[in-house]
Amino acid sequence: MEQKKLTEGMLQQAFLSLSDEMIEEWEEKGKVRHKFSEQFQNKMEKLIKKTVRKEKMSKFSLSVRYLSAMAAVALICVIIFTTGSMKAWANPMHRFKKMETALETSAILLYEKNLAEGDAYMYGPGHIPKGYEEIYKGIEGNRFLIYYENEQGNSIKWFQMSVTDTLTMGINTECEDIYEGECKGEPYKIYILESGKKLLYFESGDYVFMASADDLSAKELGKMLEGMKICQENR
Amino acid sequence: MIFLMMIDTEEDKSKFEVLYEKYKNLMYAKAKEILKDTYLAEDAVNEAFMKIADNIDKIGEADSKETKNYIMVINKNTALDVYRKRKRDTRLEMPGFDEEKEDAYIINEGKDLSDILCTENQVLKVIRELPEKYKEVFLLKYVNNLGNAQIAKSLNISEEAVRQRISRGRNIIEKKLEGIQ
Repeated sequence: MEQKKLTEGMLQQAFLSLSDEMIEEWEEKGKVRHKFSEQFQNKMEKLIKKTVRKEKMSKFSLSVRYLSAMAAVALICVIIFTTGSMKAWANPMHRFKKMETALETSAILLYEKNLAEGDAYMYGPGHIPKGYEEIYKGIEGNRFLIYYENEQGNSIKWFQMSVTDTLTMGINTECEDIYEGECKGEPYKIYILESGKKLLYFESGDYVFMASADDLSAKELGKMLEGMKICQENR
Repeated sequence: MIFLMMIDTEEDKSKFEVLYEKYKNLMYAKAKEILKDTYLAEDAVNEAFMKIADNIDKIGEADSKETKNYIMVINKNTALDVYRKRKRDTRLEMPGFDEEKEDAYIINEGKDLSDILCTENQVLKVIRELPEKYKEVFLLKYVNNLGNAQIAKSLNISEEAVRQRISRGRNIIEKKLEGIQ
């Protein structure tokens, strides 16, 4: 074989080949299934919970990734644009943004109003269920998010988004039951999924509120919404 | 306009869970091979997963070559750390314990890579023989394209140690290639 001058490229190529060899050997030797001890499994269970939470939080901050992940789940809320008027928006920054999704039959058109830029009121729940603590609160683009968790790792997610009365919403859900309630004189619905998870949807004025809870009764989730109050103001 | 909104991804298994299911047995087998002890091997796997969790943002598809390389390197590095620590702990009872003399390799500092003529097979042969602590740094650098800071965080060493290992590792490679010529 011809001798060449040693370069970074040659070194890199050599390490890529070495990696292939090592991976092959590693996979070959590790085919046996091991019965892990209970102590190991307990430690890993805790680590998994903690890391999954970290991954979820990271997803929140990446809206595109978040939306594509959202598109993979069975519950879909579809807002249908009924009139073309955008007069309701005073801020010229507002715009529609089309986004690709994994669902062939659907498209996402995101009505973007940046809550951090314009005048906006951010509402948080007026009641926090016992044992839950706020672990994240922030505005990300057109969403205001609050994330709660209890010691068992169950979570509650609270979303506030901007919409206008030029939008109506149709909801396509696969749920076991629907709980209906009233907040500030307007109706809200909580969709109860087969898994026990609850999903709340409520429109009021310029805002849509959504919340999800892993391990909470529909009544208690509704209570969070009914007592909601302004917790941040951008003017 | 259509607006799709979804609140949760409960069916979506997290990346970390997928990695755990896919690699735990492979990692255990390697750790057991190094440590020859079931409980120490499990501890090493647990520690390795803690490092992976800390660096989960650097990991892509569970099946990709880069992910396999990263996990394999962290797995071996952690098991060797446990092994070294155990060796240190028993050192008092083991007179004559021989420390690795890494500085013996420091030669030819500053020599230009381009001065050395070699074949691809010769380079591969030389890097196969490279001490593990240099090999792992180069694997993360060249296969995972990590910078010094990311390598340092992944291996739980300082950035200065990463720089030194890259420099010393290169010296070893050059010296050995010169010896072949």
